[in-house]
Amino acid sequence: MDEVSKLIGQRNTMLFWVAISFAVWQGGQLADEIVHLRGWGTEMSNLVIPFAVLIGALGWVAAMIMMLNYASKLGRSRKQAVIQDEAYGQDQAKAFRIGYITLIAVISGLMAVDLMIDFTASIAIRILLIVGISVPILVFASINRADAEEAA
Amino acid sequence: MNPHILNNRIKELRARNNLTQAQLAEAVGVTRKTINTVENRVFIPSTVLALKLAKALDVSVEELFSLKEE
Repeated sequence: MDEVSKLIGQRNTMLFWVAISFAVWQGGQLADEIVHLRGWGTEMSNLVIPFAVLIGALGWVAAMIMMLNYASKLGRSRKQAVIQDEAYGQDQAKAFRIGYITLIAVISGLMAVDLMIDFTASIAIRILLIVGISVPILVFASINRADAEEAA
Repeated sequence: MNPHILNNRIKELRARNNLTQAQLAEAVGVTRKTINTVENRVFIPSTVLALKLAKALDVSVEELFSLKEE
């Protein structure tokens, strides 16, 4: 495997880690808030939710270390311009576009749900944060992985 | 919808020059995936990339790319 394919593979793995660990970490916090707000706490939820938050937070720290490591590798590589070429820019724009549309859809959904159920601003913000950060990253990594498999 | 399709002869000219997608990608400074997507008409390259591809394949841009109306 050449240097470019290796760096692209590492970038995809790192991006999946970033998106998933953030969703698990913040999703756990979100579940905790909902459980407390609704009074749905059980022995099981008291065990599972902090565990998910811990796993997600540790995964997020690992993802940040992977990101720093990747940035330093990319900085040292002469292939940086190759990896961030035109198709990369197009995929990035597509991922942002899909992320933006999803975010608008979730905001609309939250506004509709707000008419029926009371929830706090902090719950809404957390949902938007998870969607706004994880969706574009996951879309970008998925497009890249699918294309890399197709090109192989 | 764009009524035009950008046809290209990259595959044919690559074969004539005995170049793989990876070698052509290396020559023009992009990823193999970019060459693959241009070749399969998924991605429309910029003028700069089109010129680089034409130079690497030793033809003019007009010989490499052409517009086909749907």
